[in-house]
Amino acid sequence: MAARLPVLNGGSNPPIPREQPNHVVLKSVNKSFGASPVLSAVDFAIPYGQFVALIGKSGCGKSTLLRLVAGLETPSEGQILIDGAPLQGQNSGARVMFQDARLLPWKRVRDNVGIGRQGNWRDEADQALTEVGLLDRADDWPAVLSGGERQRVGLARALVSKPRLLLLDEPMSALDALTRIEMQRLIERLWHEHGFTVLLITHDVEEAVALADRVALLERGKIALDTKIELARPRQRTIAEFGQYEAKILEQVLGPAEE
Amino acid sequence: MTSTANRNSRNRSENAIVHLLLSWSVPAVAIISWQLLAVHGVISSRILPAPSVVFAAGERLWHNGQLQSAIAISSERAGLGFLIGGGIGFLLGLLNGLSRIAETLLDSSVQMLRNIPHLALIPLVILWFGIGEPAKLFLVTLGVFFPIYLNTFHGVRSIDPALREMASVYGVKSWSLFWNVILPGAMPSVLVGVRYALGLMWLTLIVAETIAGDSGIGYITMNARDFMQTDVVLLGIVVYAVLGKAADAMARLLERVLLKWQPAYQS
Repeated sequence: MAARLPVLNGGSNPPIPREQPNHVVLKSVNKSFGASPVLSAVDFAIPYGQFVALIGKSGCGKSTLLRLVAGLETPSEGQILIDGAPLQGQNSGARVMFQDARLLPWKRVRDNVGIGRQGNWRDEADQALTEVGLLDRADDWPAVLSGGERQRVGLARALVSKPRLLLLDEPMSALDALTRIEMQRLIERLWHEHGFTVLLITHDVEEAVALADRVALLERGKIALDTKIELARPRQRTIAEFGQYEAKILEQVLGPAEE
Repeated sequence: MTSTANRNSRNRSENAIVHLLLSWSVPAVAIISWQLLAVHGVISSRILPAPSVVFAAGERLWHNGQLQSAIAISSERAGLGFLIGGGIGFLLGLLNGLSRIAETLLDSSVQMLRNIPHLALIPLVILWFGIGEPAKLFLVTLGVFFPIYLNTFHGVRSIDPALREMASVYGVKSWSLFWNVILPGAMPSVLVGVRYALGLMWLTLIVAETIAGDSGIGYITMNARDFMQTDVVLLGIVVYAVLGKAADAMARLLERVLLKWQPAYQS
């Protein structure tokens, strides 16, 4: 089943041998809201441990695809397989980072990170906060944090349950340029350490090329481009190949430059 | 660094003192001129006795115990009515906020009843309960019910759907969802309702005690009117004002404790 779908294994994390290679599979998924189709017959597979970036213009359906994988929406037609089994209800093995951090303003940072956890969640939360470098803010209210710190708390909250699939819905789009690069490095490092699968939604081509093993472009509800990024990590943004990947993808996003 | 911090904190405390003096200056001037005008016979003591006379009346009633027992009775009525009406309003607000079926079933009826001024029910309430305790309790209960119901309902409904979605992604469900997301999310609005209800609570009680009663502050003032004791009437008004202020201060304290996460309460 999964073997017929395009499978691209890449990145520095070798896939763990399993019965089937793909963590997430979308099989001819259609999604429409009312009369307007958002995704039409999308086939897409993400191998275990791969870092995939999905780019596209706003309104192209990329966030909808992420929400389908998270189980927050159900496909109008088609199927989503997680670990080879059809997804029913919410995807409990996945964690989502949203565009804004969505911290509960009435809970201190530590309690936000530990939300939904049981047992010795305080230690787990502190450990996750250590990983994002914010342990010293554990007792602060979210209101006093900067935008970047809030997103790092959001990342800690996503990591505390040791998810196998991390769904990132443009979590860096609201950050300033420097904070964004810091956040990108942090996510890349944690992905290296934990080996989870990542689906990153972004409209930033540079971000996609810097982070992802593979970049897919969603255009009018279809996958219009699916390319591996064969650059060694840590990636240098200044080298020529980086620029070539960026240019190639940008050209596809924007259409060929007019003469 | 430290000297700047010291200077800043000294400036801030000086500012606080100036602020306090300024905000109390107008009432202070008013009371002093009232005292002077009354003492020099410009205002008749039957119309407006001097503050010192009102204070003396307070002392007199305090010594014979009337004032304390009246305050105790009135506060008990107010508190009990608030707990019953506020409790029902809070629970019904939560229920209708959380359940669409309950809302469909109950909300339009509540909205209809809300348009009846509850004080218009006084004749009916006297027919039902006479002039005893149940009549006053009923009126206070009714008075505080609506603001707390409306604000609780609104508070639950206005919780950011993005936060509820986040909670569901992170596996927060049922009781935990209520306790960690819905209740604290609705709390700012609930507390607005509480402050509004506290005002209505005293208003209702004053009217109820003045019209019909054989005890409490309202009774003391109406009794004093029969004997032309303007000083005692004024005393009753002052006591109501102090009790109202105390209730408001308690509500603000509650806000400070329950909403300490809001930037406005972080110093």
